[in-house]
Amino acid sequence: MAKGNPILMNGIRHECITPVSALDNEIGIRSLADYESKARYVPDGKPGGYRAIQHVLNNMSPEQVIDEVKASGLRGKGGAGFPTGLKWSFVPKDHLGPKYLAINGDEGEPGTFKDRYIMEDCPHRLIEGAMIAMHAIGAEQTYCYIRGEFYDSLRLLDEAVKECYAKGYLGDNVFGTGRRMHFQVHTGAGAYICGEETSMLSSIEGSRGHPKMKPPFPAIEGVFRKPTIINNVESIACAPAIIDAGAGWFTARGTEKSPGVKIVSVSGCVRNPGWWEIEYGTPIGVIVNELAGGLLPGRKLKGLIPGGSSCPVIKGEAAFDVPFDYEGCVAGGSMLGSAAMIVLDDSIDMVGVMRNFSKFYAHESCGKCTPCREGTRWMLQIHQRILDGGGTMEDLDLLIDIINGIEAKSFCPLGDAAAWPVRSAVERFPEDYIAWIEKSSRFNALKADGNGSASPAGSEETAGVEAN
Amino acid sequence: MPELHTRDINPAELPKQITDFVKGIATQYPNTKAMLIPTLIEAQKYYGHVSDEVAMAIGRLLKVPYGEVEAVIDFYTMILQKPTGEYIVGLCDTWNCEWGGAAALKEHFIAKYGKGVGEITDDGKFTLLMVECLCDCHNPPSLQFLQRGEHFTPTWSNNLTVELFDAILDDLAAGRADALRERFVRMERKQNAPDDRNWVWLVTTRNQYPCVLEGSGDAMKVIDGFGKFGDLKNDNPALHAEIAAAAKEL
Ligand SMILES: Cc1cc2nc3c(=O)[nH]c(=O)nc-3n(C[C@H](O)[C@H](O)[C@H](O)COP(=O)(O)O)c2cc1C
Ligand code: SF4
Ligand code: FES
Repeated sequence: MAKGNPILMNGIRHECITPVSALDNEIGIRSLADYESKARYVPDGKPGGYRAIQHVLNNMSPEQVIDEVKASGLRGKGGAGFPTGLKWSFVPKDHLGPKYLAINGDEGEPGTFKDRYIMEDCPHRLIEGAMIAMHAIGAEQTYCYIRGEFYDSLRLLDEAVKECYAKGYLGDNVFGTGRRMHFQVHTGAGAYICGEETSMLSSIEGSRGHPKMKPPFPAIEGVFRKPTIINNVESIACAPAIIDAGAGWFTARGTEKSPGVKIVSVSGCVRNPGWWEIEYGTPIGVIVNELAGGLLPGRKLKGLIPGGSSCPVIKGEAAFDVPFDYEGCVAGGSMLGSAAMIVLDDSIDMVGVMRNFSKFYAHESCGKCTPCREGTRWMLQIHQRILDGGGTMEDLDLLIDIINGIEAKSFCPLGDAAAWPVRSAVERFPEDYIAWIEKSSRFNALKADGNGSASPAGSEETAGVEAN
Repeated sequence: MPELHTRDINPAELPKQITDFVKGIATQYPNTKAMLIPTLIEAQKYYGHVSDEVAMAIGRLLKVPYGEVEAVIDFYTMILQKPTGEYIVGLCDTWNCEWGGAAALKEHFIAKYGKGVGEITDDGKFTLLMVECLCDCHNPPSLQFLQRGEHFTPTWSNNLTVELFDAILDDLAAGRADALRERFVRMERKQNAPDDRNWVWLVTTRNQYPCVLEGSGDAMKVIDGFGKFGDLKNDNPALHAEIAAAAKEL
């Protein structure tokens, strides 16, 4: 990691530790004039705004752009970390008719707060990135799907788009090259599932946000049944820097398998929650203790979720040694996800956390498939019952049983996302559950009957769930 | 027997704000159905909620069967089917915000007005809605005040204590123009200061700013720590007075 003093970026606890970050100098630049006149990081230091796209339009073929992005090793920042250049190359080249770029700005994963700052504080970088991607995949239309609650992001990005149309940067004759490039900001309406890529496409088409069957993959048949590339806001916002500074700039940072930089948002029990752009591979301990100011006085780390509420909880201070990259987080027993780090100290009760997460997923399940629709609700009910003093030891088995029924059996990854954190809590923090259960009147009544932990999971317990 | 629908609105009767909106975006989409959700949201900005009649008219305008329009309205939580108070108080209670004290704000609201989530207060001013993570989790609890009107005007508010929340509600109810203006909450020393200047966090009802204190006594100045925006842009003298007082105590 390139260490040093945090480079302060903007008013709202934004700090950056990379000496030259992909977003540096652009945070806070909302107007087109400022974007063009202020230097971003480019090797020769000249102002960079919309220079990358002009270079691409004049000098690079779509294949060259894709190769450059592939060479940079850029990985999708929306959750799965899929290589962006490779994804772009999946669009059939011989396809006649429209192709689309759909940008995922439906930021909704609990703990994540990064895309909104890109959309609000450097909207032009996103637009420029979208233009580069449109050139690479041969699309003429971008839809940027933004979560409906982000009124400010919607407004500010829309204003930036209008500026570009007025200057001929977007439209039917982009920069006088005869290319058509259009950009439409599309509002969501309050559904977490619309962050899942195929649901997002359903939503853009004007339907309920239900996921679609894959294959066909969106790159072959996506929105309006045309080839569509879906990328996260942050992934697209990296494109101008890759073109300007070259793939080598990216590969010189981070790790071999996770090159480059990533915005991490840190929330929970720390003194200085906020977001920073870091190099992949930075140890989690450095992020928590140096950037986020460490834990509150006298507290110890109980658990840490590296990638938002959909990821398993890593237990104890071992989490501090985990390098923050895709491979490191998996080896540490979790996932990097959307890089939304939630820090839990020893004052936190894991059952309460999981009740809350289960409530979230039960609320956000789209209802299309049974394991997720019913399973998330049962998980919520069981957690509520345990917290209300009605838990028994069988509830632990019952939770695992339900999780086994959701995991890998749901139609889309939301089911897994609901199940993984709860599995990690039950398996890694059983003592928290047991502490509640031992206080429960139901458990003690059963124990008095000589039945404390012996009753088979299933019959009686499931009845309890339903009655709840 | 309940009436199925009260009155049909001819799409031509829809207000100009909505029809202009549709005209403005129509070239961006290959079909009209794709405009359904943005148009419903625009209609909600205009009317405050989407009634059955309006939904039906929009369906006709965009040539989407009414059943499908209803299916969409049902699915998306932001599309409101019932009228609300003048302000929608959207309070997050996902984990960070639950931990940060969202429940206390909720309880306070319910006790203060005797109205539950989704109901309109007697003065017609407020409706409390519980929402899932607003992705502003670093300053919990997170809350969005939405003012109805021709547009929904959002104001974010974070780190609210019950006292401050109560004061804001009273100010809004009294129609005070500056009710949602930024107010001072506290000032704290910044951990991990980037250099040896006097760094502090300035926490207001709206946000948290890393600032630098310069000078002392009456000449004390609080400046934006990044130097990118110049002095703190805030034409609120009361806020500045409070900041100055807090800086002296630090
Ligand atoms: C339930 C669910 C929610 C998701 N939410 C988001 C989101 O809010 N933003 C996002 O960019 N990706 C989200 N994703 C991931 C997307 O499906 C998709 O992988 C991503 O947008 C691809 O972009 P990338 O390759 O640039 O990462 C979500 C996935 C699932 C399963
Ligand atoms: S897993 Fe959940 S969100 Fe995904 S399709 Fe099934 S019900 Fe819908
Ligand atoms: S948990 Fe409330 S804003 Fe994220």
